Amino acid sequence: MSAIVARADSIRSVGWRIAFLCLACQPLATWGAENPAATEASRPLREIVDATFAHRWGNQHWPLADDGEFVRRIHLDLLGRIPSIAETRAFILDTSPDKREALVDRLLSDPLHARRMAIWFDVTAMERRAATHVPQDEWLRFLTDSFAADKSLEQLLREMLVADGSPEQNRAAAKFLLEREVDPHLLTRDVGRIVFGMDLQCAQCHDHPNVESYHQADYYGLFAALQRSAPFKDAEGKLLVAEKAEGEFEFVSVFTGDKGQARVRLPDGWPLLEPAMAPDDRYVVAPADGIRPVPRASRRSMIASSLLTTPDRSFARNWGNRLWALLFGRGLVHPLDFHHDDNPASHPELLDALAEVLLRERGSTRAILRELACSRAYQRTFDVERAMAADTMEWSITQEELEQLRRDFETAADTELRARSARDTARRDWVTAADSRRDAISARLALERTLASTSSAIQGSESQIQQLSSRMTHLQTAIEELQKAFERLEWPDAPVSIGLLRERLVSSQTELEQTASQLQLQRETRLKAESDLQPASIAAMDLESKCAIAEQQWQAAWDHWRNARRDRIAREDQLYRWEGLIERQRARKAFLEANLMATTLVDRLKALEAVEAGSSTDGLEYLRRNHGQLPEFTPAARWHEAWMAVSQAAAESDQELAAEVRNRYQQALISAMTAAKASLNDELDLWQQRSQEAREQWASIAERQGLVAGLTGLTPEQLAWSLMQATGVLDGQIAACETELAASPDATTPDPTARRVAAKLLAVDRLSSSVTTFVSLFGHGAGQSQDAFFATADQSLFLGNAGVLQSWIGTGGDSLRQRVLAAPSPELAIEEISLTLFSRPATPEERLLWIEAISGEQVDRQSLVNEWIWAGLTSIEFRFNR
Amino acid sequence: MPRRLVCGSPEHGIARRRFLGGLGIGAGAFAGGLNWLAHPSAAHLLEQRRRQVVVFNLAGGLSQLESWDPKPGAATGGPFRAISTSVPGIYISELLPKTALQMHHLALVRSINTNENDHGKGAFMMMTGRAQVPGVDYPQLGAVAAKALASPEDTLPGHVQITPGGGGQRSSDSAYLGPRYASIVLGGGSPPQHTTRPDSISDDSEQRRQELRRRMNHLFATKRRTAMTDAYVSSFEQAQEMMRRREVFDVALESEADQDRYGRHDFGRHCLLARRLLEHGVSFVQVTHSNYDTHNENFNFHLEQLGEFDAPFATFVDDLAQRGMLEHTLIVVLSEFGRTPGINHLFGRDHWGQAWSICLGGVGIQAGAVIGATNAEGTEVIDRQVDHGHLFHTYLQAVGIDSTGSFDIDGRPMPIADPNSEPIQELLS
Repeated sequence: MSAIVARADSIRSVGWRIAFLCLACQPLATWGAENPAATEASRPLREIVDATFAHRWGNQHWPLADDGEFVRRIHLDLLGRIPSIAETRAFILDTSPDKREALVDRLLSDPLHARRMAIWFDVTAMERRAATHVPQDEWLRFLTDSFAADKSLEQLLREMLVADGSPEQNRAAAKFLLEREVDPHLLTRDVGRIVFGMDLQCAQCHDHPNVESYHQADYYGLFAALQRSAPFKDAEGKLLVAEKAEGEFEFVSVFTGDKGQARVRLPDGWPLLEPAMAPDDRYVVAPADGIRPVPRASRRSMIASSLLTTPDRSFARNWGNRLWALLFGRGLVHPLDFHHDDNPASHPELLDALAEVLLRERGSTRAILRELACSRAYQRTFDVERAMAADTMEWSITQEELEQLRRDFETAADTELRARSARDTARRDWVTAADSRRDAISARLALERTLASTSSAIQGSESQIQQLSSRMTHLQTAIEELQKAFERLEWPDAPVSIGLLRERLVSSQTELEQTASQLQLQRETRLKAESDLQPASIAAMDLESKCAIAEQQWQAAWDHWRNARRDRIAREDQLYRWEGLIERQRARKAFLEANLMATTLVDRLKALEAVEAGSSTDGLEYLRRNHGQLPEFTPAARWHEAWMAVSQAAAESDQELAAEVRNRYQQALISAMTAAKASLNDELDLWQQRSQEAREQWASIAERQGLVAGLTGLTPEQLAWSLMQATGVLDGQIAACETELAASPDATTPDPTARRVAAKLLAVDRLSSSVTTFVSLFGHGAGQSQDAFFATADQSLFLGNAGVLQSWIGTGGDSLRQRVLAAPSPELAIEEISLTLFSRPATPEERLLWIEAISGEQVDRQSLVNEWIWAGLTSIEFRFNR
Repeated sequence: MPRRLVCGSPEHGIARRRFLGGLGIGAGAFAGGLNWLAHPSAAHLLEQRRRQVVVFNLAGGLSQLESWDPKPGAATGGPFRAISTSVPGIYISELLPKTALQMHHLALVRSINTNENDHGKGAFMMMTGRAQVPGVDYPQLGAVAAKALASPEDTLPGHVQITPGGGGQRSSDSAYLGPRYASIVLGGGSPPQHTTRPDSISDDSEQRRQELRRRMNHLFATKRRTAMTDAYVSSFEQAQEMMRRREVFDVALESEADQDRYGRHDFGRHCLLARRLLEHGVSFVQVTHSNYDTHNENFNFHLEQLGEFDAPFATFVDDLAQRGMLEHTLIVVLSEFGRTPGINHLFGRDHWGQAWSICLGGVGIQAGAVIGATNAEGTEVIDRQVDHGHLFHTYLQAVGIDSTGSFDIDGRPMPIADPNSEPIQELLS
């Protein structure tokens, strides 16, 4: 922390020159200082978010989205579809001041929100892999229930990682492992990418060639935790997850040939220490033919139980980033699965705050989404013109100051690099010490086990010896008595019996001797174990303390590195911030300049037109002053001179020649005028183009800086459901389901509100098969990241020709088409279309276009309405969330 | 004459900067201003000297001994003879008499050892140039070629597969290159899905709704325009173009004489369709001929299959040569592996990745070259052993793609071909 304060001071001492032309809210003193909001853990997340953007990019009073923008955005984000026209109207007409927050709350508690989250999570975790082992509906039910109960993401992922697919557990939870055929490499890749946001794939065969912080050891650290898991088919051929308790892996770099032992560690490098365990104790169910082994200490569980414990918080940062991307369309870290030091978050303090909240709230997804949706940053307007008008701040920084910032950053980066290598050395030492400690404890445990087992064996042997000797005494007595009886009675059978008894005596003797020598061995073993135990215990204790010291040293090195890293990131941010501000200012100035130029050109065009209408001499004069450099001007000037000369000299003598010359002059003047106009128009085109480019550039910068909302392509599901919502297919189905539920004799839901909810869920279930086609066309391939927007011709061909959209548009009942056809006036009809499709009133241009179209001769109204709805549904505005 | 300050008029759409990168469609074809589409002729494409690739995939595993590397007289050689070709010194199987006459346009690689006898894995290796690693998916040759060769202005798909059946849709063979470069499958040679308008929509109605869509987009673009919105707009213009040019996929429009020359059977039609698509500028076409998996009756099956293959393929090569298309088109004939030299008790040959051959030719390839050799029995490579990695590099180099480079995928550099391998330099011209 002290390092950061020091940095803040040193930066201020560089001397900022910040000139606020329209100084609104940003006190000068806080510039260059640590963002105070981000460090205050107890502040609501929304405030942290807004304070961060305000701190970084200045001025928090950026214009917010209007109600129409907001209601569409929030419905798409939280319910996965656009609002119905009724929902839009109700929201716009609502006059209560906290209606946005109330809407957020209402949507978050809508049962369809849980379903939307389930689909989001499914696409994130399964990436549209085929459902081979766990049926999709079973899996979606599991997810929907989890999100409806606001289960934390940590718990959800934990359940998914430890699941083995056995019937005692919820089999759906094992889908993540099972659909990847429990392949350790595939799982390593996807656990790294999806669970921790780190794509370590390129580090499988060697240290990552481009990302310094991804090591082969990181890949194999995760691999080590997963490689003991294997697919197992039960008697019915059902796939389950088996796991063994042994098996290490040695990896070799294909570049350097270096070898390494794979040790369990998380992708951020955090080592997980395995429990010490006597070898015999390793299994709950030992491996055998046809038996699924279950280890006592599962390495998968080791990961699953450490999701929130690592000091780097890679899990929390990843899911914080993913939730952010869910609402903002783009992650703070982008791509979502590429968290690493050289790809820092656009707003690191925000990502830290998100991770913090995820830890604190134990990951209540709903609480986080609520806070994000209520932030001003989320509610930014999409209207660039409005936003740009609010961008009035000016600043300057000299090249030297910028260079200084860059040098400071580079120094900090060097320091961090050194701290990192010290950290890695200390970590290696610690892990080695921890391994020795674990081995020593395992050895001690094994000795204790030997002692316990030999002691009971010795007891057994002793009692056996006792029994044997008493039996021998018995036999001896019997033999002696028989001998005596034989002598006394001359019993003929006696020698045989004695022989038998003697044999038994001898065998007992042998047995006794064997047991005695066994006992001897056992005693020796015990003695040895007893004498070994003490040094083993001492060794274990010794290693324990060595390990503790190594751990302390490592932790110190880690802290040191983390401070260095934080310092580096802070300096990097300073640099980025200034670069970003300058870039934005440059774009805005380019825009203003282009507009000014364009306005001037328009004025000049007007002036030109004015002189065109006036006298031809004035016109020539005007051209001379303003467009004298044009090649077309020279002939006009020459003909003018000629005309002047002819008209003076020839006077009345040669009317014909004068007229001819005058005519030539007029023609030359017209072409000079035309050329001048064309050149002005060309220039105007150029500046208009520059203006638009500058505006787009400003918009893309402002979007990154959270000042204006961006565009996000609808997911295949969002698109399909929004199309069904807009056309009226969804509402029609809901109404049908409601009637059906009300009419059904065993109506379990007599309460109309509850029935409506049930009808909604039923309708969504019934229509969900329609979504499949959209997924196959608008979704990425199975197993690929599903994040990026793309547009291909086959999608457009589908929307234009497949008949699905046509049949949806033509749907009966209270559909958009019917409402438009029934509208009492053209104005109300176009209003209906715009409000339904775009959640906003029609623009004057649209109104004009519509009235023109509808009042044309021989208009087929049916067909016209179809065309309008189709065009609206396939327009950019519908295809994107803004 | 005065104009609105920020008009975003159609004329500006085209000349403006182009958004390339990871998006669906690059250039902004905006609000109907599709000027370049006026001349998508072959001449125009030739002028650009754009390179193209055509792959004949003999699925199931062609026997090298009955095709490119015959061993007549050897115990493993089978019943067929070797015949001379248009290149002195090169002999191929008598099952390919017409192809033999085109040999001076082609080259052979006879020393492939992929050491893989599984259909799926072998095909993966040959199509992606890499061994299959769990957890990793690589784009197929066609996707790589489409990304590297196709122009963003193309209205036809850059990656087309012609298969004996199935298809109609986009497949998922482009891995991280994204759906833009995934193949459009023309199952049985029929045109892509949804390229005809439903009868319920009249010409006028179609025109009106498209015009309306453009105007709505135009209005929106004056407020915000990004690479994504441009890509979306272009996808509709591309779709319109595909409908307009649907006849490109209709092989029946080729002359009767050509249809006769190629043969009135599926493979013949598919070869002719491939020629047609290449002539219209499609960057990558793959024709699948099935099936060569001859575990029994290898010789009868090869007699039959190659009997079907030989004439259309030779006609195709000849046509491309005649039309100057070999100067910018690479031809590759491959399989997932070869077949065992040993003949099993069912007179079949089994899977064999240890010593087999492919044939290739056209742009960038030394015509008449033979790379490597196997021993007298064909059981082992004895000279210049190569594998799928070398071949993949070679195909790409032949069409002018730097196979040692990388694609930038969302900030992640992905090597175009296996960095541990290299092209067969002596095969490249």
